[in-house]
Amino acid sequence: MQCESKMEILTINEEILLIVVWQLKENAYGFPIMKKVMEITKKKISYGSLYNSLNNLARKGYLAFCKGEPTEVRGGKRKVYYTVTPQGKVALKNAKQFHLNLWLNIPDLELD
Amino acid sequence: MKDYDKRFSSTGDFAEFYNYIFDKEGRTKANLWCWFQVFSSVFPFLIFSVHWRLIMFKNYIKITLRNIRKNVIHSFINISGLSIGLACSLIIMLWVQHELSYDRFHKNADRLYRVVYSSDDGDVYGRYLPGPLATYLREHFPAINNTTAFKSLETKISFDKKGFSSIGSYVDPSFFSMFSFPFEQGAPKTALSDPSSVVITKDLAAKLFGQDDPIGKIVSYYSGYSDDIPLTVTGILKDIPQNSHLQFDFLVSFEIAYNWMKTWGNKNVFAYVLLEKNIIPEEVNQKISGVLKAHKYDSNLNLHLQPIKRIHLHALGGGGRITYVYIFSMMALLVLLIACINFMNLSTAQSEQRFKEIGIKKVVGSSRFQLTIQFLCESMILSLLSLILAVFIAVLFLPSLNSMLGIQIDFKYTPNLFLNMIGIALFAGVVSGSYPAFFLSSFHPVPLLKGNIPFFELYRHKGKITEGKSRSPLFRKTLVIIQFTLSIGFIGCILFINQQLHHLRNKDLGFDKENILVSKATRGFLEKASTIKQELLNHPQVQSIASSRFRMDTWESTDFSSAFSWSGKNKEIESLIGQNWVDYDFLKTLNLEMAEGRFFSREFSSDPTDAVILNETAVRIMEINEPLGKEFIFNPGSPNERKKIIIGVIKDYHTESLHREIRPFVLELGGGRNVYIKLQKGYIAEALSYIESKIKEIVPGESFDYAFLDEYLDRLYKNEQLLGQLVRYGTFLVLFISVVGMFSLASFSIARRTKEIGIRKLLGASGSHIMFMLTKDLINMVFFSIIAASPIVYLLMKKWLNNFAYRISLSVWIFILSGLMALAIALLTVSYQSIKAATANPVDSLRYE
Repeated sequence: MQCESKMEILTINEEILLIVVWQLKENAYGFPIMKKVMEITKKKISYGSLYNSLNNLARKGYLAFCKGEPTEVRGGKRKVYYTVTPQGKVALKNAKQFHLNLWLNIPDLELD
Repeated sequence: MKDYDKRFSSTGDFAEFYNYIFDKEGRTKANLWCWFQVFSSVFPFLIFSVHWRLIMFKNYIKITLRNIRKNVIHSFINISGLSIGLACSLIIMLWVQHELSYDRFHKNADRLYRVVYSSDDGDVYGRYLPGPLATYLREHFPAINNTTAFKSLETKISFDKKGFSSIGSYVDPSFFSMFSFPFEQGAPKTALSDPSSVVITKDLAAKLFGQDDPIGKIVSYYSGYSDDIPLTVTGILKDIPQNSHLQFDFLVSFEIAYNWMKTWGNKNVFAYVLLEKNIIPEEVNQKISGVLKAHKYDSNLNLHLQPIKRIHLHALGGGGRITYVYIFSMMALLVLLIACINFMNLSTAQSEQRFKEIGIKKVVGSSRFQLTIQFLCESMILSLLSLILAVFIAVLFLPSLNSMLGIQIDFKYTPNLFLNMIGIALFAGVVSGSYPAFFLSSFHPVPLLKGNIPFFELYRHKGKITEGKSRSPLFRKTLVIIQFTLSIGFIGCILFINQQLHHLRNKDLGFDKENILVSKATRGFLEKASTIKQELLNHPQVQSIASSRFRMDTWESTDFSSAFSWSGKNKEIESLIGQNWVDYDFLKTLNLEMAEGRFFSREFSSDPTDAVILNETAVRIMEINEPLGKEFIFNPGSPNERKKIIIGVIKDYHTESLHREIRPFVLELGGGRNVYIKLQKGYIAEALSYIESKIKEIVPGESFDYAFLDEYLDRLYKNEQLLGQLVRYGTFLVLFISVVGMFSLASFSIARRTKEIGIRKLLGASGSHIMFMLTKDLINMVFFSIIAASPIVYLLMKKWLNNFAYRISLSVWIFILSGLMALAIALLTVSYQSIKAATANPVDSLRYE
């Protein structure tokens, strides 16, 4: 099979994160992202690993981030908002396509 | 976005999350979650920051050990040099610690003071004071909590016919509430409240009573003039700590001291005071300064307090042992510095062998910082190894050092010492490793790997090693020059010190000091003085016998005052006049000379009451013309006024160490307990056994302790001799370390030049030519060092010699001599290798490729 693009296949964690960030739109900063991820995966994830993964995605160019205004609730700390870059969107589409292709010839999971 | 912004943001998220859990599941859950997060991040952190570093560190150790094995000799030189330096500083640290610990064990050490006096102009000072002073201070000054008199005496304590000559003191009963000498038995509060009691040390108790319980036993105390006094033992002290300036075997009450000690007219007793809490000593100083003046009609002496903790180290007139503490610390530092310089030089010289390693490391991605750390680690590993060796050396040499130097330090392990040692070792490691570390890590990897490394010389630097800058030759030259400078400095100092010590020992003091036996007469001795004298003089080798109240070498305990007058006195003189009482044979025995007039003589019956003799200095200071026959008055205008006639002027002789000019003094007839026996040269042993047997015969049971006069005189320069000895050892160590370092450095550089030498020889260079080529730089550097060292030596020695009123002059030839010695040593060191290189067959050196 020939590769359509040189982009790497996303890992499942990266995929989840990208989807979550994309879903949250303007509200995509650390805390909601984490909450959402935990809702989706039904697992507790460690605090540090989230930031590592986000930073990795940013380095790969799938995510961009910008500073928000400091707010009272967070003890005066700024939020860092993440957005999915066009590159990230392509990667997501590719991932979706990849999954579809992967499942294409398997009609039923109720395998004997 | 900056990194810390992200971090802030994540803590913000963290807070939000915490609040979220808090709202949903309560405080406990939220806290638990928080702690869980914290702990779960610790482990990754450890792995990333520590684990990998440890692994790298393990690698450093491995490489270090491999390098040691590869260059056994050089590593040995490196480590041994460093460990000698460390051992040296370790020993001196122990000594300094010991010196600083003096008198600090007293619970009240901060509030304890000794009363001392000084004259208005500060020229005269002393610690011997009138006996009643202690009591007077206690009764009249509320700021003073307690006081005690302290008067040392040497006498015999006996029990059951067993007598021991011991050193003791008269003290007030308050002594034990001021000082914390621990008791083995007995109650400190009441131990001396009864005047007929005595407190002795464990040591003396064991000697006197053996295993028996000493408390309540009655010993007889030998008072010198009257009958023996029976005293009851009321307390046993633990052995007196060595770091106490007060040393004694027993203590008795001041009540039983001689009556003359209890008068204001006599200065003979120490006074110690314990201040109330939170009293500033300066305030007390102001109050008590006039006490002496108030009690002695014309004294110009002021009292002040000297903290007890300063007594051991700080002499009254300034200086004292503290100077030696500084000098020796400095010396330890210098020896260490030289060892470090060795280390630096050798590691840089050795570095060529490691160019490949450094190059590869750099290519693989090691940063300069990492390389620096690696080399620093290496030198620290080496210095820690040296430390272990150093401790062995120190433990091995301490006993012999103690006995050689007459000091007492022992190797006591304390955590503090341990930390200090590690600290010094690491410090030495960093200092000596820093230069190689920065130097080696600065290379560009490409030329290192290409292998076209140009000549890497010992003292000269041709071509470039790196593509960038490298100041290595200049820097290393400087290091070698520092090393030479220190060596020459040490050599110069020791030459001057030896010369001055020689001068001190051989200066004509104005009297004979050879073959003269000095003994302190005991009471039994004095009772039969004339018989003994007759008997002893019968022996042909005993030439004459004389006595004086104060020993020839002691001025301090001389009773002096300015209460003198003489006919024709036209001005008050500032200087104090010493007094001594001597007998008829004094002049003859000590071979003194008269300048004018005559000495005391048995032919003049009026001499014992009317005659007085001055020394030349006294006559000069008093400005008496034709002093003979003039009147000399003691204590004019007071009830005990004495008028005497000057019958002679004695030539000046030294009554104290050569630190001071000769001071004026007067001699009266009287004699005293210091007996001088002049023996014939060459028959000392014979005469001694005769004297001992005779004395045993005439006064059985009396101990006869003696020493020779020159021994006493030598003791005046104990500190100077200690200094001389230590500087001698220092010089030896410095020379040893530098020589070893130089040797191995030279072997490196010459090995590197083998091919050059071969080609030069092939082209017609002679052996001497090559020798000259190899040693030219060395000679240059020695000359540089002579120029650098001379002013330092000059200033140091000038300062030291200023302590002496009689001193040598700083002659130029010693500077030249020390330079030549250094040059000779340096040439000798490198000669082996350069001769070998110069005489080698060029074919051998060129063929090896």
